[in-house]
Amino acid sequence: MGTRTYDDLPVGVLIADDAIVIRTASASFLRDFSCLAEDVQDRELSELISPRDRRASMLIDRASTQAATEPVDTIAVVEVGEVARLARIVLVRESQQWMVLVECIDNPQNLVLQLFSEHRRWSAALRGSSDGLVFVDEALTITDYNARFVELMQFRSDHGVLLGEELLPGRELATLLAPAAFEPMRVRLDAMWSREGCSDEFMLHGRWLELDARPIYLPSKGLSGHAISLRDATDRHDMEHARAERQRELLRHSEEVIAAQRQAIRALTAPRIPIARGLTVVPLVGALDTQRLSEIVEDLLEGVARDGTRTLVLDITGVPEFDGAAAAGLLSAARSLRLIGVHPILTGVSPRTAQLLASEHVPTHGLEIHGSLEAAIASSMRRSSARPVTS
Amino acid sequence: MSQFQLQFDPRSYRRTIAGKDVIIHCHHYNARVQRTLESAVAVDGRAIIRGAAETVFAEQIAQALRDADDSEPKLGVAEQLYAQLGYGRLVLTPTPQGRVHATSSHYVEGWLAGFGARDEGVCTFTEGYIQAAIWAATGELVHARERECMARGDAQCVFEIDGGRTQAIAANTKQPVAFEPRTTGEYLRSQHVDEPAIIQALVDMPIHGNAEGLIPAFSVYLANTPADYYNLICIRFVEQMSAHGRDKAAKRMLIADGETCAMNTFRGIMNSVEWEGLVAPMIHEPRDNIFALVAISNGLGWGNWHITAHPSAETIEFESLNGYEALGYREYRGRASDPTCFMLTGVAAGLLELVYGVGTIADRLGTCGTRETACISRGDATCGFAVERSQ
Repeated sequence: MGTRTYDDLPVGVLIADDAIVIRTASASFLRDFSCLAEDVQDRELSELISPRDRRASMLIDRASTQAATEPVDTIAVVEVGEVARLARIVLVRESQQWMVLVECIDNPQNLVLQLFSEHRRWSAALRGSSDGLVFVDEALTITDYNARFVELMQFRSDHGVLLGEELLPGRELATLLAPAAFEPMRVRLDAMWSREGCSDEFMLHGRWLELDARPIYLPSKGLSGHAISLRDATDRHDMEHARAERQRELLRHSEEVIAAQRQAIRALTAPRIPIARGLTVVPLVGALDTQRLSEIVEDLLEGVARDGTRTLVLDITGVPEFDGAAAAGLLSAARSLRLIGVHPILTGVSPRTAQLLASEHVPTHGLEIHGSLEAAIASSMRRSSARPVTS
Repeated sequence: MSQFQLQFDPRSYRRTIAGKDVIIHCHHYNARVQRTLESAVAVDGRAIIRGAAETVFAEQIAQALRDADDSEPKLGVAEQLYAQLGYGRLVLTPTPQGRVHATSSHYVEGWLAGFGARDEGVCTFTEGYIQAAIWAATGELVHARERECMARGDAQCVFEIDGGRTQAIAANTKQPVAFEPRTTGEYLRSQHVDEPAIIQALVDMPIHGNAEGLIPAFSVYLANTPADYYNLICIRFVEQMSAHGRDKAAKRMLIADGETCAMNTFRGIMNSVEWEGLVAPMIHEPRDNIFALVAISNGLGWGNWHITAHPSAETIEFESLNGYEALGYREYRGRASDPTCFMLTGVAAGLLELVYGVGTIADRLGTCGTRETACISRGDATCGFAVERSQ
């Protein structure tokens, strides 16, 4: 065999019948594969495709059994005898037969081989990416995607059934993002299309995703689509959340420690010391502002009511500073003590404090005041029938 | 509906409903096989599907009916069986215009979830079921043709009933096969995967139609389909393609359908709440996934197959003791000259591609190849499958 018509073509040509069984082969094909006509004649085209290249075989099967009107164009390893070569195969239907163009592309200078190799590298990178990647054209229809994208998106039907991957190519991304679960992503993408690329993050199916969309430009066409990447940021979010929770916990703990310390200090700077039955002395130490005085009075009122104090000696010897408001507060506290049946005595009044009480016209009438603690205790002992506490 | 309850034989792993061995397949397989048959220009794929459905269901529905009932309750039983098996909701009582309709459909949902909308109707299977049901319930021979289909965007699927038919419904003629499956073998087990527990869980699961007559489970649409139906459509497709010299291509396409189905179906299963709850705790290493998936397939009524060798991620071997394809071929055609387990051949490769492959389904498809090394249909004691990574 050998078809004169095709022998001048720079590619090998096989003519196959309706069942894709090879009937004739061009001289160029026989030369490219160093074989004889009988090596390929009456063999099904699929038998020439390497068994390790099943994908090409599948494509040829599908296309050749269907009413394919477009030529089938694929790259495959073609094996004839001991010769195996990478070739571009184009199948064209011609009434009751098939014309099969077989162009060996294993020369490193071959442009198709270079494009094929480039595509393989690109596919490997796409497949290996841990980010979900999807590419859309200028009409926002999907042109390419990787498995991670499918995994992160989990497109499902109304019944919760996973949608097939074959649905994706050529599909408008927006139609897949119609369900409510995708609204956060949809909103962000809608805002991105008009911009020069943008990043944002949102939650989808219980996971945090970082979204990045970048426009793709072609020199002759301008904007030709977008590259969209999705990174699962859930672990980072979880760590950040855990760190914030730890900080909140630390803060809470610190506040509790500070409150306890403040309580302890309060107790230490205004201790209630029982001297005799019904007689308690409270030496006040440190600066006495309105806030602290209010807390001390609150504690005192609770304490004396509980322990049966009848006379309370407030010793302010250890108070370095005293302003008018604090003095008024102290006297107000004395009045409160009287209301619950406790007789208040003030002692340790320094000359400066006495001067202040006088100049500020703080009403001290009705309040028993002594110059020293001893005098105050002696007065109290005399005044009441209180007995010393016995152990 | 006790007559439609599942009977499970733990010895053979066979599932029986209404007197017929049923296989659980999902929409991926059903839609793909349908597409393969219907897109082959050399044969009338629709006639093959419609004829097989008619033959098989005429027998099964007739077995489920009570002779004493009127045609209306008989049609009701056929509707119930249709829904119970997971095909959807069908109203078989014709309108005055001679039309019946379906409000939900496994084939529509499956096609939409797998491939998207279609210009033509997708309910060829249902056409055959309707012809069988009307004949079984009323004795009337009819043609049912879908005029409106939800897959095209119509509100419901509408079937025109033409009573002018004379051709009888072909009987489901099978020859009994004296075959005693082997019960034991040298099989590999995973120390982590509890195969009996998985199978029992599947048997206990209510895998029957919901209110819509659909079975959305394991992230796919399942359906219980008589093994006879699958066997008839595959056998007839290969035989009719053979008349055009395309039987090898037909077999390869059926294998590719099984392969794609395995990846899609089992990926859906691995992304389901059922897997998460039952199987995921058993998975400690990648190979456990294959053992678990084989256990699941054994619970789906495909037969009883096991792993015999799995030295690396590059290769695996299986043995099937009573696969429905091999036995079905023997019953319908006698002894085969070549292996006939196209679905299992494809599934075997698909399992390796899914568990150890990288990338999208399209990236993985064809990267492994299976040889059916022995087949019960040829007279071998078991069916054997040797899978190797080819790329």
